[in-house]
Amino acid sequence: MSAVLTIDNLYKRFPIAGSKQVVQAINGVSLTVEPGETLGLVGESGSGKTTVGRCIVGLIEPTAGTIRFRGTDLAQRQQHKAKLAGKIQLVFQEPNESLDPRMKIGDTISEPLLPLKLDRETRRRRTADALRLVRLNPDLLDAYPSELSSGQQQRVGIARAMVTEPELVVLDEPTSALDPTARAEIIDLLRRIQNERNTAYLFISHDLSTVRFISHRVAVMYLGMIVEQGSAETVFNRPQHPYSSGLLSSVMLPHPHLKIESSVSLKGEIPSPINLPKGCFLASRCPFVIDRCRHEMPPAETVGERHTVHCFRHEDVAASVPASDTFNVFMKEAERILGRAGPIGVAPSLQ
Amino acid sequence: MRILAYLAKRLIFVIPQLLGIVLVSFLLVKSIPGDPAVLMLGPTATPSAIASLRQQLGLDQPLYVQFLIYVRNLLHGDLGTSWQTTRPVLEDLLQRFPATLELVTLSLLLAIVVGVTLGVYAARKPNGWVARLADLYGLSAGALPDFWFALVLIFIFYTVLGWAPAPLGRIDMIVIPPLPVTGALTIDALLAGDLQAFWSACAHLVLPVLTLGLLNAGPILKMTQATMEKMLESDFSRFEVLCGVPQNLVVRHALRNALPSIVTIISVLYGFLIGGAVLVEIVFSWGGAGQYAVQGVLNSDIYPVLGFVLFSAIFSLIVYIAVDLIYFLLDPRISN
Repeated sequence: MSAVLTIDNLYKRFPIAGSKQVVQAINGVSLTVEPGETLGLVGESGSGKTTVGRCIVGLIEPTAGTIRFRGTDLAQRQQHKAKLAGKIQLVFQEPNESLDPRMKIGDTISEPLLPLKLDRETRRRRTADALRLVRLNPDLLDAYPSELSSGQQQRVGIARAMVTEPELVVLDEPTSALDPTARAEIIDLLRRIQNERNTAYLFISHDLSTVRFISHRVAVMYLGMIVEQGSAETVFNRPQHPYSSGLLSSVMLPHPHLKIESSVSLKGEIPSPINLPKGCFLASRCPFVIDRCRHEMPPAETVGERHTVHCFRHEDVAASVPASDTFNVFMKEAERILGRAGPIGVAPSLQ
Repeated sequence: MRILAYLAKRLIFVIPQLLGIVLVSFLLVKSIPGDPAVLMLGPTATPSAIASLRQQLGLDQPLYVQFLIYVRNLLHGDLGTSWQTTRPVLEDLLQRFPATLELVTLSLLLAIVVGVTLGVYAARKPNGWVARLADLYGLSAGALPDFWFALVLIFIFYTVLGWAPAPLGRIDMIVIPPLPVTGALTIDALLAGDLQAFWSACAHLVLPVLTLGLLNAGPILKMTQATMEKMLESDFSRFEVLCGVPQNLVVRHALRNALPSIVTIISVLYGFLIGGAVLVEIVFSWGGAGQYAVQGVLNSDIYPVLGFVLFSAIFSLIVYIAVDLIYFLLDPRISN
């Protein structure tokens, strides 16, 4: 199986105006996304998730490293313009700010087709298809964004991304500005679209329960590095990096019976990305810290199928946390409610 | 239809607005120290002559009676008489207001062309040389006094180069002015088919229009640049860029969203310049309305001042109503 997206050792530094210092936003990120797969990119704000997404869609030039889309190096984006046109798309966090307030919904959705040089009839058909795909009423084609609810606006944001029939969509926190009902609808919609079109998603979010629900695989970011990457089930049920474990322990699942057990609690604040510590970036906050961590950056270790972790003591971390299936229970419950499989109430497994 | 309903609602408020403006300006002008009777009769006047003139002018009446008389006269189209020109204020203003309006309108058009163009180009490349030029321009335009800039232009283009006509009025003295129709000399000359008068009027307009236009392009430039930069950095512009939408289309869509702010600053400048152009009018002996009003203030000649305030107020109200109508066209959110 050939990957849709391969990122290899990506770095991004932002110069600080009026200073020789730089913000080290991304520090050696490597990841792959397969066709039809969702990779959840999680981490605190400031961890560099959004920067990774913007490098992929070409809004930011990386400092070093390669990004390949189906084998094409995106550094030569301009040379391969025709081949890449519309193949990688982006959905923004704020639906309200990402739509041109002066443009009608129909024009907004069909606008990405303009550079593809399609005839009018094809454009019209594709726009109608996209509208159907996100289940928006065709009456809204002549409306302006301000007449829509945020949930509808985000559907427009998804429709205009899907209209070019992309193979990869970067979803940059697409649900964090929405209320819970609209959030569930958008997630459900994204999963249906993926089933129908086999689109690969890079789903950027700090909302771990949403990520668990939609992702096949998960990459946990901390200070511009992916500290652990693996299948969503393994990473969520048995994290092997102290940071993943700590992050998971902070999740509140939307049910009082669902509790996450973790012995890992992280101390202190996230260090400044301007002066990165030597060695492991987590050393100052980690309860598992040993002397080696302070001098040496732990390399990526493969601990399972497509599961890598950057930690010298990942075995101890894994052993310290009891394997939990809380997230699996949550998944089943969420599926049940969304699928309307049973009456809304407490599932037998939760009682 | 919605526009008409809105317009009707706006127009109802015009009458009380004007009444309020007249009341406030009447009280303010009346509070200026100085007795017109004394000024009119000169230093040799006897107290009894002054007293009788005061009575004749109604100055011995209580303030509210004076105000009511003024309003009653206004309703009959009588704006009072200027004791300096000894002519009815309405006649004076109808002659001078178009002179100012012609100057200010042309200056503003120049300012819009310079300001919006430079602002859009500066915003396209926030670190480019156009942006740096725009910063320098905005700063200089804000710092230079207009009358001083006018004098510099006169020195260069009249005194040294001899390209511009003498800064003495709106038309060459040897040219017979066209029959007044609109009051704007260029338009009247064209209506009369008098090309000599037209070119003479144009030549006299060049330097004052350059002065006011170039200096007032500053705020328009700044507003355009700031709003356009914000629009081009917004997510909807970024999305167009990553989709490969041509840059001029991205800029056009951003400009469409920036226009309401630009129109606002233009309308404010328009209203302001009617009175704010007075120093430039004086430098060029323009004989405009601002100059007329300042003479009135200096000589306790209150009716020209009140007449000017009234004219300016009506003009500003017309501009603001026009701007509101433009908002309707520009922004679908308001019309909904």
